[in-house]
Amino acid sequence: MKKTSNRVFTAVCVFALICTLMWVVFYAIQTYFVLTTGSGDGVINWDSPHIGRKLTVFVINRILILTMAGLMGAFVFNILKYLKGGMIFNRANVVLLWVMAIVLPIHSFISDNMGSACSDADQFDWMLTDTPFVYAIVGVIVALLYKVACDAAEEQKLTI
Amino acid sequence: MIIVNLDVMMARRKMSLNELSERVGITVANLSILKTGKAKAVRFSTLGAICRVLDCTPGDILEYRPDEE
Repeated sequence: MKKTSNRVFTAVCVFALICTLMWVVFYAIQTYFVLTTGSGDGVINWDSPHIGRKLTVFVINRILILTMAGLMGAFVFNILKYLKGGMIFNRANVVLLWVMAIVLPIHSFISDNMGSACSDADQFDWMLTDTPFVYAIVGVIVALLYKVACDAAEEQKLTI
Repeated sequence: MIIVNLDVMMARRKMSLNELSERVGITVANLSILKTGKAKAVRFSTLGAICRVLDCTPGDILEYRPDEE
């Protein structure tokens, strides 16, 4: 791989790692305010009869954010690790992308319901939009394309 | 399956892996992949260079053996 491409890839990966870290920090701060501000719109309504369900959705959302951040961080870290050897494709990232393709639609579904979970309303109604399906399709396409590219790169590497 | 008899030809010509690598112009690591039969494909240019250095034909290096069922 050319030195320039190597530098560009490294810069993009470092930027992605910083963005992932900022994402986690932002939601950590938001979690603090949502849980401590008291009842109201945009935060948890502690007086709601559905507080158990609302809190469960909130906690699952935070766990999924951490999971996605971990997966994305590991993905970028793997690229940085293999970049020294001149490769950006590796088997570990193929697995990570398949896991992301499963986790991302679930994360999207829970995120769609966060508006209801963190609202002034007493009621909690589940909501299903097309977003999780769109994320699932895009996730599967990206994972498949990465796998094909990884296979091709390995074959190219073993062509003497 | 295709068997690579590079080690046989190297022994006949009394040539080391390092020397062959230098004269052919490919790395020892890649030559080792080829020698151990781990390579998935061989470029005509590489095969030609090996044949030139070892003074042989592709048939001396590559051999076809039917798979055992």
